[in-house]
Amino acid sequence: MKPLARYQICVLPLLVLLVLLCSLPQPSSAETEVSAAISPETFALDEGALLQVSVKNARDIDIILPETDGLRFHSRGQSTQVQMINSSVTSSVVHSYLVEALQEGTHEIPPIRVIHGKETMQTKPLSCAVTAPSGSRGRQAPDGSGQALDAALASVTFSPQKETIFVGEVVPARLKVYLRGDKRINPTSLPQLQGEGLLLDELSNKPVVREERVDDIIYTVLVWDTFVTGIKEGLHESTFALDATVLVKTRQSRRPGLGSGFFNDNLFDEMFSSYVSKPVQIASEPITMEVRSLPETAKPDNFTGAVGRFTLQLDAQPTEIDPGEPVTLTMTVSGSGNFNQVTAPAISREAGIKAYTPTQTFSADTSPYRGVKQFQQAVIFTDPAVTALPPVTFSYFDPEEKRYRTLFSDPVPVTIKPSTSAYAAVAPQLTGEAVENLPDPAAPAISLVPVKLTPGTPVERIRPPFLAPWFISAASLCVFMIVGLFGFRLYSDIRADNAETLYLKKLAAAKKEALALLDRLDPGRPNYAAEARTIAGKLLSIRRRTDSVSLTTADIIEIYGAESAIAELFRISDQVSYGKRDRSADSYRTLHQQIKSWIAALS
Amino acid sequence: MNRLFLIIVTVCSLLVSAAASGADTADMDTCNRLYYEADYEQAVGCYEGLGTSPEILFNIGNSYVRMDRPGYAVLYYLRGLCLAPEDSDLHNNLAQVRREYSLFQPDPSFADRFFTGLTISQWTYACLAVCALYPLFLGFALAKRKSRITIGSTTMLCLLLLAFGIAGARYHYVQWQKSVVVETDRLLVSPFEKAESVGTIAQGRLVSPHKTYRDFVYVIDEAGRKGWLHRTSLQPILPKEE
Repeated sequence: MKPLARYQICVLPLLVLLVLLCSLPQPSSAETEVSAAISPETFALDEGALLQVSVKNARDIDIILPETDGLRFHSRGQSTQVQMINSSVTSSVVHSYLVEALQEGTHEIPPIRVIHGKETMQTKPLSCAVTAPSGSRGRQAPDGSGQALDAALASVTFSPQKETIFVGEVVPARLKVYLRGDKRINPTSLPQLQGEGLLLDELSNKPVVREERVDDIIYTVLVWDTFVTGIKEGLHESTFALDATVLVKTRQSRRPGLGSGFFNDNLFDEMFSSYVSKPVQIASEPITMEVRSLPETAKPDNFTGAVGRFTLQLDAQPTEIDPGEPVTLTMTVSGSGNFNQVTAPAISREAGIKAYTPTQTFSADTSPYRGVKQFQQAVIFTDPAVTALPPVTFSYFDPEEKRYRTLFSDPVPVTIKPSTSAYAAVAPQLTGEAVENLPDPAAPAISLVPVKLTPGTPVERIRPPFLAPWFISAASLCVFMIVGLFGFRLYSDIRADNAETLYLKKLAAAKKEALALLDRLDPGRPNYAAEARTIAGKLLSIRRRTDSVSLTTADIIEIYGAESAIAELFRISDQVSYGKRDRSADSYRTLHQQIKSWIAALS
Repeated sequence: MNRLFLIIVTVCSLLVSAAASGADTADMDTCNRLYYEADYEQAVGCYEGLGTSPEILFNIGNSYVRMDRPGYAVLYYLRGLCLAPEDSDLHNNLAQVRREYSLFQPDPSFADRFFTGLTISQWTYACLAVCALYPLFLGFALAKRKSRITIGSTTMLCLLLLAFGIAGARYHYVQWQKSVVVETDRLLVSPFEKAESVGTIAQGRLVSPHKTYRDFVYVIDEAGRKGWLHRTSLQPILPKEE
C-alpha cells in the first residue's frame, strides 16, 4: 500500500464524522420552551411536593420564582438532558424545587419567569392542594405558622398533687414529656407554663429520662418533679409546651415521563427521599386549676403570707446579762411551705425591750419548700425591771386545715445583773439607753466606738495652736528676747569700737605732742636724758594704757628690746640719775635723732 | 472687807460654772437619747447646738454614719481630729468608715510619714521650745563670752529645728485646708453644669481646692485627678467663720 492510500484511510473517516457533525441541527438555533409541573398536586401539610421547571433548548437561564402565600420553595439543584430523535437533538435543563406548605388549602402558583439572554419567558400558572397533616389528631402550632405536630409523635402531661389550692400554697407536681422512640424528635426548650395565676418552679436542664411503653409504642419520657404555686385567685386554664424539631421525610416525586416509579419499588423511593428538620411545638392538653384566696376572717395581725405547715423553736443566750448587754435570740421555723414568705417571728413590743434587725439563713431539705429557716436577732433590755423575754409569735395559713394558726414560744426568764455604770445611775431618765457599752441601734455592720456621754470642753472655733493667742504671745516674747540679746551684743560691739577709735586719736595726739616737745628740747642741756625720758614715758603710758611711772627700764627692754633707742634712753637716764658721768653732747644729739625716729615710727 | 467680797465672788463663780457644766451634760443626754432613738437628723442638730468639741464632733460623725452619709461623717471626724489629733476613738471610727465605704487612702510618702510622726500641736510646741531655749542659751553665751563658733553652730542647729517645726506645722495646716466631698458628684472638665465629666468622686474623699468660678471649685483629689466640683458637694475641714 502506498503511503498516500494509508493516509486516506485515516483521514476519510474523520472527514465523514466532521460532515455529519456539521450537518446536525444546533440546539441553540431551536425554539426555547419552558414548562413547570408540581407533583403531587395534592399533599399533606407535613409533607412536601416537587416543583420542576423545565427549559428546552437553553442553558444559560435565570429562573424567578413567584411569591406565593402559604408555600415555600427550596432549591434542590438542576439536571440536564440531551435527546436525539431522528437526527434532531434536543437539550433541556430541569430545575427542581421542594415545595413546603405553610398552611392548608388550595394554593395558586403564579407563572414562573425564565430569563434567557434578553428574552423573558414564563410558565403557565400551577395550582396545588394542601390537606391536613397526615396525623388525624394533629395540633396546629399556636403561632399560626402552619407547622403541625402529630400527637402520636409527642405529648406533655402535667399532674399536680391537687387541683384546688390557696394563694401562696405550694403543691408538688409532675411534668412528663413523651417522645416517640422511633421518631427523630429533638426538644429545643424546656417546658413552659402558658397561662396566668400559677407559678411553675424553674425546671432543671437535666430531667429524669426513662422509657415507657404506651399502646405497644415505646416512648422516651422526660420527667420533672416540680412545684406549682398559686399566685392569683380564680379558675386558671394553663398549658405546658416546649419547642422541638422533628425530622420529616419528603417524598420524591416521580419524574415526568417515567411512569409510576422506577420498578414501582418503595425501597427505591426510600433511598431517594430526603429529610427536613421542622420546628414544632409540643403542648399539653389544657389543665384547669382553681386558686382560692386566703380567708380574711381570723387573719392574725402578724401574718405575713406564710402558707404551709410549720413549727417554731426559740433559744435565747445568754440569760444572765449585764445592763445593756444584748441577748441573742435564735428562732427556728421548720416545716414545708412557701419559705420565701416566712419572716422573723414577732417579738412582743413591750416597754423596756429593744429589738434589732434580725439575720436569717435557710437550709433546704429535699426541696426549696421543705427545710429550716433560722433567724437570729439581738434584743436589749432597756428596763432593768423586765425579768423575762416575752413569747415570740409566728402565724401561718394551714391549707390542709384551711385555717390560720399562730405559734407561740415559751417565755424565757432573763436575769439582769445590778448596774455598775455610773452614767446609768445619774441619768435614769434615759432608761438605760445611753449606757457606755450599748451598741449602736441600727446597722451594726460598722463597729463604731459608741457616742460620747460628756460634751467635753467646747471651743470657740477650730484653729491651729500656732494661731492661739497664748502661743502668739509666748512666741513673740521669745523673739523679743532673741532680738534683745542680739541688740545688746551689737551695742557692745559698737561701744568697743568707739573706745578703740578714741585711743588711737589720743595716741596720735600724744605722738605729735611728744615730737613737738623733743624738737624744742636741746640735746646739749645737762638734764636732757631725764626730760626726754619724761616725754617718751608719757607717750608710752598712753600707748600701753598704763601709768607712766610704772614703766621701768626693764619693762621697756622687755617690750621693745635692749637695742632699741627708747631702751637706750631709759638706760642712760637711770645712769645719770644714779650719778654716773653724763654723756657728751654729740652722743645725746645722736640719741635725740634716734628717739625722734623711733617715736615717729611708733604705731 | 475686800477679802470677804473676793471670797463671795469666787464661790459664786464656781457655783455658776458647775451649774453650766451640769446643763451641758443634760443637753448631751438629750442628744444621745435622740441618737439612740435613731432620730439622727434631730440628734445632729442637737449636738451642733452644744458647741464644738472633739466629743461633740465625734457624736455628730457617728450620727452621719448611721444616716449612711459617709461624706459628712468623715468631715466631722476630721474636724474632731483637728481639735484632738491623738483621739484614738476618732481615729478608729474614721478608719472604720473609710474601710466600710472603700475610701482607701493613697500610700503615704516619706514626707507624709515624717510629718505625721508628730501632731500639729507637737510641731508647734517644738517650735516654741526652740524659740524659748535659744534666748537662754544666747544670754548664757554672751555672759560667759563663748566663742563665735559655739554661738554660730548652736544658732544654726536651732534654726534647723525651727525650720522642721514650721514645716511640720505647715504640713498639718495644709491638710486642714482641704475639703471633704460630702455628696458623690461628677468631676467636670470645666465649671459648667453640662460639662464633660472626668469621673465620679465619692463622698468622703479629700480634695484640695485651688480656685473658684461661680458655683464651681477647681479641685485636685488624692489620686491627682483635677476638675471642677459644684461647691455644694464640698465642705472645708476648717469651717468658714461666720
